[in-house]
Amino acid sequence: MRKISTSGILSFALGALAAGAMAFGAAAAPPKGAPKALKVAFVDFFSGGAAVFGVSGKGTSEWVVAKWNKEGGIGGVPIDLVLVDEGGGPKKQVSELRRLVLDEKVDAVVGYTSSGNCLAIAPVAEELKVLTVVHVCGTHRLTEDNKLKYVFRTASNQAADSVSLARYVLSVKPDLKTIAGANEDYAWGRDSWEAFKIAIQRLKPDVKVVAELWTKFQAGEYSAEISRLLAARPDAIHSSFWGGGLITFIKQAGPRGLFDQSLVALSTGEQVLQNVGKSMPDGVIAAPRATAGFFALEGAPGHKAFVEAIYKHNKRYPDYPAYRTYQAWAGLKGAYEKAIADAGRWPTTEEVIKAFEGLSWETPSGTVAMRSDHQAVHGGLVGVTKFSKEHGFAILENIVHHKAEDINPPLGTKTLDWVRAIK
Amino acid sequence: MMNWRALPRAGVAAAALLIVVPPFLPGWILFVLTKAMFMFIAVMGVSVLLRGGLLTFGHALYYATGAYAVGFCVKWLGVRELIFLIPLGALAGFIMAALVGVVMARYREVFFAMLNLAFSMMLFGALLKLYWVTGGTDGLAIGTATLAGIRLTGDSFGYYYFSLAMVGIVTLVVYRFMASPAGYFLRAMYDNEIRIEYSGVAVRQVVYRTYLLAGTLGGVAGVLAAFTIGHIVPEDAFWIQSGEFVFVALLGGFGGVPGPMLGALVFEFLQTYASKYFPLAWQMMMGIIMLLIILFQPGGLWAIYQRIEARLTGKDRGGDHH
Repeated sequence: MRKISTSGILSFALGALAAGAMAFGAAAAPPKGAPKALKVAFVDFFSGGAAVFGVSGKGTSEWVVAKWNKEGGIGGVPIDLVLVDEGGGPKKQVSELRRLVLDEKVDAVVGYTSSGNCLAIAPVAEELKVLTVVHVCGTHRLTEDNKLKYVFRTASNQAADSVSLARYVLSVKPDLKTIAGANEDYAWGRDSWEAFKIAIQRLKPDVKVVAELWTKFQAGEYSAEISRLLAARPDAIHSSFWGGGLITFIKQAGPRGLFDQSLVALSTGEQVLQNVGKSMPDGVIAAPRATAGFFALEGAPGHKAFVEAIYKHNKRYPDYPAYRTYQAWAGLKGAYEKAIADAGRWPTTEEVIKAFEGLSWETPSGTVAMRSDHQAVHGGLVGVTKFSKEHGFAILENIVHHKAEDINPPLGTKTLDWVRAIK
Repeated sequence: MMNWRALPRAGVAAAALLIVVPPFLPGWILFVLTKAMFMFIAVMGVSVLLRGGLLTFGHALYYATGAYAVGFCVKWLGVRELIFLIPLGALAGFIMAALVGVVMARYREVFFAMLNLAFSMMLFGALLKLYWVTGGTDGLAIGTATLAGIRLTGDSFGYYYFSLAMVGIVTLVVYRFMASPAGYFLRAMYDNEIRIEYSGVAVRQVVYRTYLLAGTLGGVAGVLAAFTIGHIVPEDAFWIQSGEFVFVALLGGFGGVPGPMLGALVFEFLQTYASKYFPLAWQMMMGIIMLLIILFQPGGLWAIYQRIEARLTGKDRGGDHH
């Protein structure tokens, strides 16, 4: 008995000591060699049409950085956030990146929504050896045309959006016969439609394309396209319109009955739900670009708290740019923390890169996994719109969660080759 | 006219500064300077036309022609050799100007400005539409230039000095042109076109030749820009790009060579610092500066220097008892 009590006291004392050490460790000074602050730039559109994404990304970045800094930053080092506008084209962004690295001496860069910009800055980031986490840009060319060491993309590429829509359309309408596409005439629109069309025809070879419409970038006037779509009477319509263009398309196509006639699938449809309010008819397929939705809270832990906090901070529910921005920041933090643990001191950029490759991290939109080709994969949801009295706008119902492997090409396979062979 | 003669002194000083100072500057400033070099060459084309009273809102046509000439050489041939590509870009700009110029030489004023705009937007549309060839809005990756086989990255000293050498050549060519009969008639055209016709000179010829020069300069600028940035996009042909060239010409003053150089340098640094200190309102800052220049200094920044110089030399003369 005495023996037991001794060991009991001993183990209690040891336990207390260990707990004390842990508590001390958590609150204690950052690891050896740590800088005063980790300077990270966030680059997104704060001007122009794509500012609808950038403003959401900016708010989410400000919120997450403030939250983490209150909790001790990354490994005890606070984050110093630098905001940079993505407007002005690749010429400006390439120059800005040099300034950020050489003048402001940032430790890492998070951002880039435009595909043109992310393709332009990737070689420069490699040359400058700066850890760059691309959060939204969707072109598969980023990871397939470049051999990346310093650049990571923490979100699925564009094909995930098209393939998840194709799968969902066929699950809703298994007897699908005809499809049509209405997309913007630039790389994003072309790539989106291409992947959707190939995926549908691969999954159901007898489906015919009855119209392929190309509109001007953010045209804002779609009466001719709507007339053609009404005349072509396709079973399903795919569109990758986004932002202001998508909002006006919905407002113009709704009253003319396009959504009643055909099943319409919008790859960025979830992003505008809060903007179009009652103009969004029920029964339209919409997706948040392979992320999660604030209306579908089951699953990932901490999702509800995330949605509430973002709503409070941004005065808007998190849309896909918000989820993707969080994915990027959380990936960066995860990589740093793993590298700190591995090295036992403050890591070099190369050590962070090593930790980033193969890292899996939890986000409100589920688990994100970074592959060795620096392309992250994750699952995402698709649903159909249904007006919600509680919100004052439509949210999604009949939600299907696609698994990462169902909507992303496996490592080493080119995106288009994979889409051509999907099952 | 005095501007052209004023160059030697100011020009020698400026050249000396641009040659000697860069090695002492941090790397990112060197890059901003390199951008100013190709900007200057493109703006010089716009300025030469402005000397004849010809305002163009479509000069990006030539700039993008040069840039995409490089883009296709890189894409199809894997060629990144400046010794080959600079003449090719110049030739591409020249040929484009030779074709478009046939139409342009007939028009003046707002028609000239708008037709140029139309042609440049046609190229923009083509670059956008021919997605399979041009990569659409995603653009084309250019990579690193070589000079006689030696790799020159866009932010290297070697590339900067190569750009500076191009600026030197362009300056000489523009001087020669302005000193030629066509150059004199061009300036006279600004004052009175009909009188030139009466003196027996075909104004259309003068405009055409000037247009060829401007187009060629645009092509050279496009080649340098493509390798400086390392990536080209259809926006290189967009009207905003053309507007930027006009902005810089007005900012610096289009009277001679120093004005566009001053304009290009100030523009690049303004843009850099505006987005550093006003990340959410840098475009508005640029607009405000443009407004102030137009309202208070229509001759551009170079005119300020000239006024100061005139005052100083005036005093000097007083002392010298000339």
